[in-house]
Amino acid sequence: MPAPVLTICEAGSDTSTATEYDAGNPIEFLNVDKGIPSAVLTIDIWNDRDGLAGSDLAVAPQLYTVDDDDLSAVWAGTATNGFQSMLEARSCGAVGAAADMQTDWTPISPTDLLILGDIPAGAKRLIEIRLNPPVDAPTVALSDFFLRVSA
Amino acid sequence: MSDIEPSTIIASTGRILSVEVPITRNARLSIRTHGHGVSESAAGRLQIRAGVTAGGRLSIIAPSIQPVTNAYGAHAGQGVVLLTWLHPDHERVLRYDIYASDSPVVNYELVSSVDAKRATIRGMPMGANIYFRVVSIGKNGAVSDYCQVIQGKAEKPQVTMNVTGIAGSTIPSGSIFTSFEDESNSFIVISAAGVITL
Repeated sequence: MPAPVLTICEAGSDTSTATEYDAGNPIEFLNVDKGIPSAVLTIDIWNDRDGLAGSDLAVAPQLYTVDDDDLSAVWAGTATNGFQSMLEARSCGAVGAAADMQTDWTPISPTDLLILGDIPAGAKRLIEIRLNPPVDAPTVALSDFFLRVSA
Repeated sequence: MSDIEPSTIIASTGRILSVEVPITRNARLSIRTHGHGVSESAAGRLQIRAGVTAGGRLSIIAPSIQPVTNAYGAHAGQGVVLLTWLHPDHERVLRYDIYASDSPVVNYELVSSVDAKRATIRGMPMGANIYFRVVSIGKNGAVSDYCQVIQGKAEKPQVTMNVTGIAGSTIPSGSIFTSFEDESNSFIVISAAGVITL
């Protein structure tokens, strides 16, 4: 079976039109106040969006992060939030796949994964992400990270 | 640096390619995933899985909360001062702290904390200048700058009355002479004793 073809796109994408997140169009959480969660950002995770590869994804994909700049303080959290990552995600819907709505936020980091439901070819899952820094979070200047989803 | 050819392909399911790579002592292993994919290493085995990466940027700044605006104070009589104000982002405010002083610059003391955009301050000294500051406390723990100083004086009621006396008349001690309402609508009774001479 062909390997899955995963893409991360802006919300509202469909099989014919999509704007992918990339180096020139990053997922941005800028100037988030300590103690106040950022606005929730919804992203679309597709498998084989145009259906050309004919791939399927029976294994639950995983969403996590990778450092670019040193964001170890963000991933480590503080005593106030129980030493968990300040970047959080949850699944909030699907198109072309069984919904796996999640009510709780899951911290994601290079070592903390959010397990998603299967994504068949031509289907997408809607993922909400937010930055939730506790009151005692360190000040972090503009820093880069990578959001990754893998089979 | 050169690529290392895998010696043994353990499994290739279309999604996961597992290989076993011989690593000699002091050798350096370079893993290339060619744009997408994840590499894991355990007991000399590598797994390369299909995936995709999106860039992200974040910054976390010190908490902030804006100060109140349009602060206004009014003396309601008997040392009671009513304060009102506005706030551009009231939903983010946990409470407002009100400080008072007899100096516009120093000696401010906390006299009240409220969660509404108004406060009634009692027990202010009469006849002296009083200065108030209102500070916003955010739900995020942030403390705002204080608003512009609100100045006021809790004046004693100014009583004036016109007396039309009768020459040579006498007011017995303890008798009720007249009554009236002051600015705070308090009913005041005056008694007096003496002789009116015109």
